[in-house]
Amino acid sequence: MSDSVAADRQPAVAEPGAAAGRLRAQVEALEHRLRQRDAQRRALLHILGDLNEFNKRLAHQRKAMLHILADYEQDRRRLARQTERLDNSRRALLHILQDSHQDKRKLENSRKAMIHIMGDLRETTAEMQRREQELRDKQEQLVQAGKLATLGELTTGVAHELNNPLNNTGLFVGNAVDLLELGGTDRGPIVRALRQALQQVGKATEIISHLRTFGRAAPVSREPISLRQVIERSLALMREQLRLREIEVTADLGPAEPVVVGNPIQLEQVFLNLLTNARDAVADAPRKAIRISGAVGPAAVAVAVADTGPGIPPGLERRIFDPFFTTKEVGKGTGLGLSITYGIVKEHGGTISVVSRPGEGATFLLQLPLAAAETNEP
Amino acid sequence: MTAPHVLIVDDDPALLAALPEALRLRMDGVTVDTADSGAAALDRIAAREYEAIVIDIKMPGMDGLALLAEIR
Repeated sequence: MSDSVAADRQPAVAEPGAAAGRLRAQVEALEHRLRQRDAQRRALLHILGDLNEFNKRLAHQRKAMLHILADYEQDRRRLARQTERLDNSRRALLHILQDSHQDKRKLENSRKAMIHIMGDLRETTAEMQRREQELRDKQEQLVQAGKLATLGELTTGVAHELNNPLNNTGLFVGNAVDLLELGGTDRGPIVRALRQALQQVGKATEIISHLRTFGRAAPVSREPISLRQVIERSLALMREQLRLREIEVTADLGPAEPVVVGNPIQLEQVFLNLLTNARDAVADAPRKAIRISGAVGPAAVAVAVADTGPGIPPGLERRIFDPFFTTKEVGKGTGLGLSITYGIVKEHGGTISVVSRPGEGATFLLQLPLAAAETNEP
Repeated sequence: MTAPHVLIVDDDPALLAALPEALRLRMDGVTVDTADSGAAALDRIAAREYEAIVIDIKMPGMDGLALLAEIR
């Protein structure tokens, strides 16, 4: 540009009029340029201001960025911490899972052990049941043996009891035959003799049928039964023997009609055994008496069978219910009677005990639950 | 020979009903008395003589053998 200014000056010197014009033009051009430069300067200043502004904004942005970065860093750290925590949790969870797996295994083992134990238990139970059944079978056999023993005891008395009606029957029938052969016209005596013969046959049949019922190995059924009837039937079987031995028997059951649930034959055996024992106990006593008395309570009936024998020696009250324990002479008793009696009474939900003071006889106390009380129970 | 007297001793009332009748039917003119115990028999024997006495052995109270001993 400086070259072009120099070139403009040359002609101005040479021609003063033109030179002034040229000068003016040059001044105008210069002013124009100045204005241009000024505009450029202003524009530059503007730009500079803008730049400054921009720079400020940039600084702001940088600061903001720094903030953001700090935030980000914080976030990152937080995240890292969280990640670590998460990781810890994960590890803990894993541990827990492992533990739980172990626990599960332990549980499974326990369960298996339990199943084993239960299996053993079942086996033991089955074995127990088998043993119990065996015991029950044996007891039934024992009861049957005891029944046969009782039957044997009864036979002597029964033979006499049977012999009489048979003999009498023969006599009455013989009389009837004789009356007919004699050709008498009065039928009265003949019919009377035959009726009496029938009566005697009936008596013998009753004894025999009773013995048969008693001796039969019938299944042990349970039914409501009158205790009075049981006692009376037992007494009927024993009556002849007791009468021949001059044993005074009294049975006072009161006005009540106690009904128990049980097996009539077995309960009859209880009283037969008690009566047989009482019979033997009073054999050599100065006064021979057996007394049966009963009392009915709200839920049970109590029966006492008392004798006037010498009583039970002290210390033996417990043992007399043991199997094969007997105070009778060898060959006189099996030692089974009272143990069977005890078993039957227990099976019927009752109790039996003995009270004895030496010289005052023995009293067997029997308690049996009443049928009504048994069915009323839930 | 006068009509024979027989005493039957037994504790069974049915026998005491049957046996005397049987004897009467089979033995013409026989008189049969009965006693239901040893004691009752001794009373009868004290009262009169018997051609025969039939005694049951098994009886309550005085049995047949005891009664026999007593009579002898």
